[in-house]
Amino acid sequence: MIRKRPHLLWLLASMVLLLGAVALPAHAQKNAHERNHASVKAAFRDVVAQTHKSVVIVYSDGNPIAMGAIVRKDGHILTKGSELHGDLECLLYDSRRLPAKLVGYQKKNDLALLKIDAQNLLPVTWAKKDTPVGSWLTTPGLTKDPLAIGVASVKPRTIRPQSGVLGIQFDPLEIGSRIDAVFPGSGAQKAGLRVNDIIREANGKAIENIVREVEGREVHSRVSLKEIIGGYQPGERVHLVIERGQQELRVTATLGWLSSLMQSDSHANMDITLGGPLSERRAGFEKVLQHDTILRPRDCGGPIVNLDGETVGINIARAGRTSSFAIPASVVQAVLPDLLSGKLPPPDGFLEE
Amino acid sequence: MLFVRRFVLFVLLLLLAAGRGQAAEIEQIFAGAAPESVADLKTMQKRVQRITKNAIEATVAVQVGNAHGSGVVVSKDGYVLTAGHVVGRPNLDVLFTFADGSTARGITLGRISGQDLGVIRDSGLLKITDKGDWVTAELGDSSKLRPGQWCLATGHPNGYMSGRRPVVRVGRILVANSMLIATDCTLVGGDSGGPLFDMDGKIIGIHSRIGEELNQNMHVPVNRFRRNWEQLAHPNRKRPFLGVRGGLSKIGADLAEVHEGSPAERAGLQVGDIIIEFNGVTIPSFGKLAELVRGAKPNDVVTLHVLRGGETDPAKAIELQLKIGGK
Repeated sequence: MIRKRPHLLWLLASMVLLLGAVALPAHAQKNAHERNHASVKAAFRDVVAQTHKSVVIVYSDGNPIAMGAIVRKDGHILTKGSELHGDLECLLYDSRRLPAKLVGYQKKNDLALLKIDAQNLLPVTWAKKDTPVGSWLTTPGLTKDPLAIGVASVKPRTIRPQSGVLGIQFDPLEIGSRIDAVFPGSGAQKAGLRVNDIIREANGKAIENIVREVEGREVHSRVSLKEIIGGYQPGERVHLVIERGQQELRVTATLGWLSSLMQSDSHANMDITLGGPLSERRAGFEKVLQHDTILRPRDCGGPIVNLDGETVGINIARAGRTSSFAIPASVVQAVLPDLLSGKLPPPDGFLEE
Repeated sequence: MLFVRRFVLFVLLLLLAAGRGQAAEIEQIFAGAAPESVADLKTMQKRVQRITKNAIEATVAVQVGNAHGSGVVVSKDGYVLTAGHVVGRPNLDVLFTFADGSTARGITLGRISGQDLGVIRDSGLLKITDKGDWVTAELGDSSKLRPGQWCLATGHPNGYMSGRRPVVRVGRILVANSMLIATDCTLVGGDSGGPLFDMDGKIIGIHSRIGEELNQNMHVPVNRFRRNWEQLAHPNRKRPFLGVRGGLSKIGADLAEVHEGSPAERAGLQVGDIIIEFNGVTIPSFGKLAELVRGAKPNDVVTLHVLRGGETDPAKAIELQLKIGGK
């Protein structure tokens, strides 16, 4: 409900005052009273005693970028697809770090299947029952203490897809696909796109300038680029061919959220600015179980378990200040056979940067 | 045989003792201790699930104009607690949406909001005017809260979304005093006005605002609603006032300011005066004076005993008559 930005800033400013006066003297004590304090997490040790052996950390070009869930003892591992790029490895609880190959991807739920060369791994045990709201949920890491804890917040529901934004602007009076502006913080800027670059291709399709006649006047638009990008969500990558002076360059850009490019007063913006970082791909899921576990984007991709150590889902996104999403076990189990059988191969160039 | 019977009895007693121990232990955990085992966690989970049903059904989404927030129904006749900044002003149309998606109409009543000496006030009251049988939640007591105590938050983060019931979060109290509760139940815009519950399912606070950190989630203590109920429920009724600002005296209510043209000035009160008696009741501090004035009605005439000019002997207090103002 707090909507206006200046108002919010005012509130924040006054809150800092309050906190300074009220909370700081008790600071040392305060941490010990938090839900996520080590003393509370320690109570979950028996819950993850077995399941932490079914967890991996996925590395991309040497950096940890996601968690993964072992689903077959022969080395098949589920993880969050949109975080993957470059050379992949998996770190196991027994400290083995093995190269991994991407063998399947389902875009609808952002689930990717990896394969490592290993035998006799311990796969997750799927929960057979639904997870009631208010249930404790544990996100195991590779150690004997859980990575994070939380509770189920809402009954599973569908999250509609959003259109990804590249973060460039064309000159509306101009013909062609010359970039007129690059928004700060956008995927376009991070990919190194510059003003005056001309976009020639997106995901292998040529960008055509479309000229229509409206009421006797010629109207130019770059509809084809919008059409190509519009089919992708925030967090997905597009491969572009651009012309810069005499050069032709190939660039991969990750699409972002419109709300994070605009100084808007929306609730979505509060989610972005107040709290930790969020997963880029956090919308467009067939079904998610929302929980209040505080995860970093790189903590997603692995199993989330109930108090009996059964896997109730795969963490798929840090979605907001109050929410993380998991794909429920029933949905994962329905798609798993197609991922394992090769019916859902990853698209060409999926791991390209 | 006797041995077996004795043995069974012994085991039964042991079980009973264990059961009792566990019950006492779980109350200790809810009161601020950390759980120690999966058994503790399961007992907590059972309780959370039990109180969640009513908590969710009593939580409403609130729409006032274009503003979206949350609230909680506290009486069968449709009073709804919310945050002051959700109310806007009295007598505006409100659309309430319940957990099952059904809706009802109502109006905004009073609010107490704004900043005063670094303290933020943010309580508000709404009323459902449609007829219906509302699920309600009970008011708890926010005066005895302690850091570490477990709590449950519901509300509509990011505003009401069709197909999503009120969203549950579980956390612990980090700071609690008469003006503010801070918890690690994460909140965001749209949660404003939603309820914070203790582990008995009673309302202990109303969501108000957040800071940048995930453990900076602020709630208005529910006792502030109790204390200001008349003002919240009757926003147009005149409120009693004196027109003074208090100091920090330890022997009575000393006056740091006497506003021009106020009832206090008309009665002859001056800056530096220390009020030690109000209609025969001893006044140990400014807080007590404020409480008695709140309990009075505009136009009541009261007798005050006042120490003036540095006098400290109560026997030498002067007596004044004062007519309580209304604003």
